Order: sequence, then structure tokens, then C-alpha cells
Amino acid sequence: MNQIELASDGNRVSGSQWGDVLCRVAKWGGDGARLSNGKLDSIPVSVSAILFAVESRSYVTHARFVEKRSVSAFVSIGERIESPIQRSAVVQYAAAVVQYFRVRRNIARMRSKNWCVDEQTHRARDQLSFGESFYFPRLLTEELTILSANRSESPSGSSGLPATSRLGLSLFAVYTLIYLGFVLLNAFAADTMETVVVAGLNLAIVYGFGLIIVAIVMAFIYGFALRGDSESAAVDRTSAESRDGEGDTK
Amino acid sequence: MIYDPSITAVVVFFLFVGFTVGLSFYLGSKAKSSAGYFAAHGQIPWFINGVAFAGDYLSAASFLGICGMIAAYGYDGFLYSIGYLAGWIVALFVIAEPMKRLGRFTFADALDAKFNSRGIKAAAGISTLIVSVFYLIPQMVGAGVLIQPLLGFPHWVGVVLVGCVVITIVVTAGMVSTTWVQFLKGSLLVVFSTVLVVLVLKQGFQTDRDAFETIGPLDSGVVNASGEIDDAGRVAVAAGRSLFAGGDSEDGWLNSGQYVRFASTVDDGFDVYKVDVRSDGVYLMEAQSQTVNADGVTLIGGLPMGDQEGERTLQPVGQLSRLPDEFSSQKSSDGDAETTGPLGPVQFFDVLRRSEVVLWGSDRIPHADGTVSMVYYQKPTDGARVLRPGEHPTFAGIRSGRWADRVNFLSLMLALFCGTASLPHILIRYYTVKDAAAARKSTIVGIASIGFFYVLTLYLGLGAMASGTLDVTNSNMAAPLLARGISDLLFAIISAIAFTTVLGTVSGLILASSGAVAHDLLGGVLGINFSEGNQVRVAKIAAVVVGAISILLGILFQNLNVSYLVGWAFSIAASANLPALVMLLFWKRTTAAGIIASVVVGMFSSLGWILLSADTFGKVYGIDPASSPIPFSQPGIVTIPLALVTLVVVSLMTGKNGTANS
Repeated sequence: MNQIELASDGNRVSGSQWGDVLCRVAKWGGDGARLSNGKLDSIPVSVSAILFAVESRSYVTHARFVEKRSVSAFVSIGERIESPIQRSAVVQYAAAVVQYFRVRRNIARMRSKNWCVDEQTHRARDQLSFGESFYFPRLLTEELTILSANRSESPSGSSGLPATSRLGLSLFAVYTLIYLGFVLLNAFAADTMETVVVAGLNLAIVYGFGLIIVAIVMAFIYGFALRGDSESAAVDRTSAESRDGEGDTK
Repeated sequence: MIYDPSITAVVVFFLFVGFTVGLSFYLGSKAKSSAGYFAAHGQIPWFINGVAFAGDYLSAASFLGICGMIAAYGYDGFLYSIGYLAGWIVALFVIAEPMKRLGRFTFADALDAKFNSRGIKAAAGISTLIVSVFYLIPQMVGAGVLIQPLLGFPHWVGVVLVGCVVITIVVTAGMVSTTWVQFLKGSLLVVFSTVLVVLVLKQGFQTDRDAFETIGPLDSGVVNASGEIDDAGRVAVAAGRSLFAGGDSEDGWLNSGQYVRFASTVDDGFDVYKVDVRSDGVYLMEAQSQTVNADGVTLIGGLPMGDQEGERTLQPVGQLSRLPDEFSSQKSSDGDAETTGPLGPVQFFDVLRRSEVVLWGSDRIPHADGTVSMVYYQKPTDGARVLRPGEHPTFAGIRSGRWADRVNFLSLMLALFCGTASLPHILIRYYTVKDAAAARKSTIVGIASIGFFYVLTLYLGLGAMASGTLDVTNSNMAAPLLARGISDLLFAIISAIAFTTVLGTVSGLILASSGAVAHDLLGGVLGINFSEGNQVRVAKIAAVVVGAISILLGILFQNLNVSYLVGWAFSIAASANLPALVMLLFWKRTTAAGIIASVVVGMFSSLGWILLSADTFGKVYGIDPASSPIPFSQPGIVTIPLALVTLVVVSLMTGKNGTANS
């Protein structure tokens, strides 16, 4: 148990995942977490599931700095539970509640502004599929179903993957084709690799070095394209957009 | 060859070891919790983590194996560099960020993120252990191989030394110290490899036609129509030499046909020559022989191996026999050899392509008393050939015209492409950074470091090929010996780095294995609920046990050619882990049962394929490779799709029920 670690670092929470989860709960879903304490028996216990719940959605930005007072409420919950399994269950449910409140709030904002909700819907759908595994409240399921049904209104007509993934997969597909060409040439036309193509270099060296250099260049392109996409920016874009009244940035 | 232990190398090595072990104890306080021990609290800066990726990934196989393979055969070793790097594209674009989001401590965490299935934890945990052990064995054997020239100790001492140091590093501070060791190793490896390449380019190439004698041309009648020697006495007369009369027990020489032994003119041993029939007559090219006699004594050219009077040692090899015409007037400082002087990075390849390189082949000469003589002979080779694929036995199949050989090549390149992003000791490094963006950035740094290093491998290998410093019996020492040809200090540093290369990779592997045991198998599968402190303690005990096992395996397999075990690890990882991981991310109908089936089928089909392959028959079992029931040795092209199809079929069959039931 890491309450000591949690409390020892002042306002900034470092260290365990347990601490992180508590802080996120403290920030976004405190009431829900307390509520969850009475439902321990009905919740599947899985440490890795907790991490999925928290890390896969990464609501971390505003939870990094929390008031000690907020944390203490959850520390006290943890202290009352001796079994690590039960502690896990608390955290697991708490994480689900965090997401429930978060998604519901975002959906409400989107609706109030009559926004294009394409990307947000995708995220919400992801959260739904996650949520189903963790007995998300039915209300959330219904809300998301409604939003999903309106997805065809999306101007982008996207594939459902986040933009970062689409860029990554596009680059991946390009590189795979280049690599495939190299492998097939070697396998079925090895003699062509001896052809001198430039400055006394044969195709084997030019293509081989090319594959390495292209990999490095693509990696930098990917990094450059997503340079502003820190974890917090990526996952909290929805709420940022809500505040600023700007459009979908991806 | 006989290596003189270098005091400088010893000092450099122990300085590094002392520093890393000291650092581990200093950082030990940060690894008291599971998050600290397994994932360094997710607080490793992304740049440090990126370089540590390089330190983790660039194993002895990359540094010593690839450079050695290029030095011995040319371009073919570079195919591994390309494949190993291409795998990082999969890691960056497909795996990195989801891996960070899904998992916590181990690969199984990510795979089991949606399901909470003991079956998944068991399958992924066992897969992690199998892949890690296959990866560990060559690292430990490599440590033993390195210790001999570096410190002059026996093989087992090297294995035990590495094992103990790594166990200390892992047990004291887990991922924290492992990361810093890997960061230091990765940095040193890239920096000093760059220095070495700069010095190689500055030195350029030079010819050495006198290192080994060539006699001829002789009358073509000294050999029969098949180009073999029927009457050795006639050859001796034509060459003006006397046949060697001793070594009666080595009767295999009499039937060899390709070799003739003359009495040495300088000692009591013999000089062995290989017949080379050319258009203008018959040439005898000096070779080298090594025999371990019935008493276990190693003989070089008929004399005991050693550097005292009356003893012999194998001579270092690696020469250019011809340079392009424009360098014919440029002589080296001693005036005997042609030299190119400093070369640019592009000119380096152009000059080598138009030169002639002396590569070395080997033959086995069995004798009636059960002993075997190994003969190492010269193979003058056009430079253009060493810069093309298909010279190494592993890749020669692409020029054979046989479909099975081509498919074998495709399968290997597929396994390299898919294997990197499936190696458990690489994947756990994604948990050491704070978020998915940091995981992405650190992968980019890793790709830049690793890619740059792999570019250097071609220069290092080809530079060693023409350095005149190679050990004809062991190509793995090519890079350190290349450094020795330039400077003793550089040799000391490169040797020490080579040794620490093993430290960095082995510590990552042992950490991954201990996580699989403590977190996945004991905690996840058996359901033992450890407290934080106990889980760390159990993981440390597991690290000691896995480390001890790896020491044992490193000693047991010291005489086995184990370099291809890394290839096995890639194939098994790619077959068992990648299909499940990718489908989990991209196919919503994936079920727990589908993942378990995919991992199990991928793992055992690839393992079974490997154990029944012709390569294993010949190299491990020592039986006729032709009796293998498997048409080609590399399993990936069959077993990766098989695991994928298994996942799809089982997931469709089980549907949501499968998820719940598992």
C-alpha cells in the first residue's frame, strides 16, 4: 500500500499507480469513489484492468497536482481496506467512475454547443467498450449509443482511429511497402542488387542505407507532426476545446 | 589466435562495472515498490529511455555478431541490421503508445488489459520466459567468449562474472539501475563505434599480398582432371618444397585431394597449401590448420599452440589483395603495399567494390583416430561480391533458384520485422516513461540511435574484413580486433564496451523474466496476493534464479554455435506475441480465448518448427540436415499467419462468451 508515498511528497503525487489513481479519482470523481466502497463485491478484481482503465484514457493532466486534503479522503478509504484485492477493486471502480463523470460532462458540453462530435464520439465509444467490461452505468451506454448513431454527420468520415494512429499507420504502411520491395528484390532478383546506381554504390547499399535513413526520417516526421500532442493535450483536447470554443484540432 | 590480456581493457571494464554497480546500490532506494522495481515509477526521461532502448536492444548479436558476419562474408550481415531496425517501425507506429496505455509492468499486463484472464497471463508469462531464455543463452555464451581475450580468464569465469554483476544490478534497483546501465552502454557503444569508423575511414585501405604465400603457377599436370592432387610428391617437386613426413595419425590429409603439406623451413611443423586451378596454371595458396589431437592438445600446423619457441599460433587474417588501378602508385609508409589514404564514407564502398578481398573458408579433415583437423583457406573474392547479398550460407539460398530457400529468406526477414515489437524485454521499457507521448518520443530516439549504429556496422565489418587483424576461427571478435589494429587503448575501450553490451541486454532480459515469474505467473495465474514489498522480494528472488539458470546454460552451451538462438527468439516472439497484441489493438471482436490460443499456437508452432528444422538438425543435433521433415528453417512466414488465423477463428467461435468465460 502506498499511502505513505502518496502523502510524503506534498501536493505533487509521484510514485505508485495506486497513488495516481487515487489522485485522479480525487480530482474528478470523489463522490463516485466513496459510493463505490459499498459495491466491492460486485466488481471484478484486476490490477491490470485498473491500469487499463486509467492509463488507456490517461486522465492525468489535472490529477498530477491535487490538494492534499482531496487525497486524504481516498487515503482513508484505502486504509480501511486491508485486502489488496479489495483495494484494487475500489480503485478499479473509482477509475470507472472518473470516466463516467468525465465523459458525461464532455458529452453535455458537446451537445450544448451543437458541435461536430466525430472524434469525441470515437473516444467516447472507446470508453464505452472499455466501460462494458467494467459495468459502466447504463445511462452512459445509452448516451453514447445516441451519439454514435449520429456519427454519419461527421464531415471527416474518419475510420474511427485517433488521428495520431491514422498518421502512424499510414507511415507504417509506406515503410512496410518499401521494406517489402527490398526483401522481394533480394529474394527473387538478387542480381539486381549488384547494379551500381550512384557514386559507385550498388543498389544493395543504397537501398539498405535508404531503409535505415527512411526509418529515422519517418520517425522524426511522426514526432514532429505530433510535437504538440503531449499526453495531456491528447486526452484532454475535448475539454480544452470546450473551454476555448475552438474546433477539432486533429 | 592467442590474445594477450590488456591491462587497459581490464581497468576500463572494471571501472564501468564498478560505476554501474555503485549506481545500482545508490538507486536501490527507488525500487522498493513494484512500480519502482518493474517500471522505475514511470519517471525515466524520454531521451534517457530512448538511448536505453538502444542499450537494451543492441545485444552482443548486434554488435559482435553482425560486425563479425560482415567481416567474414560481406553484405549479408547487414541484412540483419536492416531487419532489426525495420522492426522498430512496427514498434513506433503500431505498438509504442498503446503499449504504454494498456500495460503496467509486464507484456502480459498489456495483453490482458481488457480481459482479466489467468489464461492470458499464463500464456504471455510463459512466452516471455521462453523468448528471454533463448535470448539469454547467446548473451551469456558471448560473455564467456569475450572474457578470454579481454581478461585472459576461462570461458566459465566470464559467464559467472557477467551473471553475478547483472544479478547485482537487477536485484539492487530493478528497472532504475537497469535503465541507467543500458543508457550508459548505449551511449558508449554509439559514440565509440563512431570514433572507430572515423579512424577506419581515415586509415583507408591498403593491400597486403605477402601475409600468406602463394606458390605458382605450376604445371597443370600436377593435378588430375578434377583439380585434385593424386601425387603429392610431384606437387612438392614442382613447388621446390619437401613433403611433411610427421603427423602419421593425421591420415585424413592423404585423402583430402585439395591440400598438400610441406615441411616448414623455419620450424618442425608443416605449412599447408590449398590447390587453386586457374587458367594460367595451378597455384598453391597458403592455408592454416588447427587440430586437437587424441590427448586434447591443440596443434597449429603440427606444433602445439602457443607463442613460445617450438609453438605456433594461427595468424591474423583479413587482407585486400588488389586495389583499383588509380591507387597503384600510392605506396604505404613502408613502401611495400599500395594504399588509398583517407576515404570518404561513399568512396569507401566504391573503392572496396573495385578491389579484391581475401576472404577465408574452412574445411574439416577427419582422421581415422576420430580427431579432426580444421583447415582455413584463402578465398580471393571480387569486391563487388562482398557488397551484394547471398554469400553467407544463411542467405546463399536466394541465389540457388530453389523456392524453399527463397521462402526461408522471406521468413527470416518477416521474423526480424515483426520480432522487435514483440520482445518482452523491449516492451517493458515502455512502462518506464510517464505517458504515451514520452513512449513515442523515446522510441524515436531509440530508432535514431539504433539506426545510426546499424549504419556504422557496415563500415565496421568491412573495415575489419580488410584490417589484417581477424581471428580466422572466430569472426565474432571482428570489431574489437579491428580496434586493436588501430590502437591498444581503443581495443581496450571497445572490448570493455562489448562486454558491457552483454551486461545491458542481460539485465533487461532478467528483469523481464523476473516480472513474468513474480507478476504474471505467481501473482496473476496462481492468484498469490503479494503485498508491494513482497512482490518486489519475490521478483528479486526470481531474478536470482533466472540469473543462475542463465549462468548454467551459458556454461553448458559454451561449445555450441548459439548465435542463431537470437533468431529463434525473434521468430518465437513474432509468432507468439505480435498477432495477439496487434489484434487486441485493432480488432474489437478479439476475445481472451482467441488471445490465449494465438499465443500458445504461435509459441509452440514456431518452437516445434525450429526444433525440427534442417538448421537445428545439423547445428544442434549433429545429424544429417537433409533428414529434417521441415522444408525450410525459418518458421515466421508460416507461424505468424497461423497465430493470426487462430486468433480470428477462436475469437469468432467464442465471441463474448469466450471473453466472459475465460
